[in-house]
Amino acid sequence: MSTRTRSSRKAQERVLPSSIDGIDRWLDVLTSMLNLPNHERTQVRDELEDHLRSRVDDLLITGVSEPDAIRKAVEELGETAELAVLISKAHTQSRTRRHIMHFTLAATAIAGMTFGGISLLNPQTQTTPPPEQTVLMNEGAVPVDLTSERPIEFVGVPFLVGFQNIAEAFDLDIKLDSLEPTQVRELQGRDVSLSGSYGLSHALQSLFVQSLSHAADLNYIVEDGTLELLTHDELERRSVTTEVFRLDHGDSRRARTVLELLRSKIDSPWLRVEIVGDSLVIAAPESDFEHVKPVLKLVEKEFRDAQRARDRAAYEMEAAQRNDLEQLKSEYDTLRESYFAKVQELTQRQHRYERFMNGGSNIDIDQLGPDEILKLIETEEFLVTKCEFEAEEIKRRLDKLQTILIEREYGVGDKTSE
Amino acid sequence: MLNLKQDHSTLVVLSVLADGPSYGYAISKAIASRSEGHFQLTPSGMYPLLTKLEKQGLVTTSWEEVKAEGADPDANGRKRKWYTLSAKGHKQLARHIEAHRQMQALIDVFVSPAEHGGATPT
Repeated sequence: MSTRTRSSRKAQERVLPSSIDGIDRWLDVLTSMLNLPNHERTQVRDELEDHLRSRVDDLLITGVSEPDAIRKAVEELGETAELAVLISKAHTQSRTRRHIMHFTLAATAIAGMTFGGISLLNPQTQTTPPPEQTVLMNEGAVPVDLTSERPIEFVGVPFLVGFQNIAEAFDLDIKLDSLEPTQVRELQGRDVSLSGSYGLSHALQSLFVQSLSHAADLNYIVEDGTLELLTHDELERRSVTTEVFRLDHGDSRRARTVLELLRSKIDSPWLRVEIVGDSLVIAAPESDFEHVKPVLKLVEKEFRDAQRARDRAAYEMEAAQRNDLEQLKSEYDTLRESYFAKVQELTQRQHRYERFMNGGSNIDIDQLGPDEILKLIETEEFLVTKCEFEAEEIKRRLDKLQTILIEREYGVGDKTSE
Repeated sequence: MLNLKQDHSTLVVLSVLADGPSYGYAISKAIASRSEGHFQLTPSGMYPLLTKLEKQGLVTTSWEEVKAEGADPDANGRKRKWYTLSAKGHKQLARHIEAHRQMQALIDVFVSPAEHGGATPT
């Protein structure tokens, strides 16, 4: 599971539908893997459904059967998990081109701490602008230097007018799309003033300080020539990234363990962990991804340890069974020896009895009375019968032991001995 | 068939949209058709790119309800997302074309040195 494969083809499951309902099922799988708000998921789903059905229509015209047309159309869309990652990333966009300020940090500063080396308790005393290192690169265009100071002048205007003035000073468009109408109305209510030369971050901090109660949970992003005001939640949502990790063995228990551990470390509604084929798809805010690798390592180690423990237990059981088997074999050998000995004894007794009956015995029967002879015959007969009985008894035990041995060694009953 | 690279796909998609509004599947067909099948923009390249262009304000989008032929006129059709080149997109396309021409002229200096006053072999 340790291999991080963003787009490993082997690592991802192909979900190929073979009916029109199959398209719906494939779209269900894909949309479940998108790390986007519901309305954006629905839009992505609608767009891809239109693509698939248009493609299927075209293929049907060329004479391809419907199941084949659907399969081909979905195949052309590429790997499901990879497509979900690419689409999610396109929606959330990379932060590398962004200039982000967390107003929430400034809110902490207001509580008496300092931010950027300047007390924010009294913005009038700020003489040095806070440090700004970010130089924004607009794609394929001239870099916009946000560290330079620009003259900004407005007095007693609503917060958003002030915000727009600052954006214009830095040749930026403004964007407020992700704010709720109530949040926008609240921001409009507070008058702000600014006068002097400011860097972008300095100007926005000053603006923020003047309308703290309304802007406590706001951040801003500068991206592609646009200055956007957005909530912390929205910022976190946009930073959600998806990674695909290969699992050595598709194991939903492992995914659940990963999810539980990550939930204890990452407090975000955007965290998702899913098993797709033999891959583990994890979506989390970019800043929380540092927790993912250690958790994966930990879970991997626990599963490896558990596997080792299982292997060891299996080995020990096998060893115990092996010992048991050795003992049985030894018992069998001993019993067989005693069986042979008993058979030999029986043969000798039978010979002795026959010799006695045929008069070839050393015993001089002329010296014995009839009663004594009869008693002797009975004794010899009894000894032969006893020996036969003992030999049969040993043979039965031997057969039984042989059956057990065959069962142990080959895991089957001995049919031939029956 | 060649798979389009990121730089080229932006130029190609914006060029297709310069001819008029279009939607994902039609854009991919137009690219294949205009390049006589030499270029292919895969869906996994195209849809993320279209999203990016939308986020950058280079295209605007709208939705249309489409019904299959012979479908029940009262039933809901599927939704189609249309892309239209914005004013910003037109400007960006012009910049891309200009950059492409400059690059092409520069490359020509190397591949056809004689036409550009370079040394000719004797």
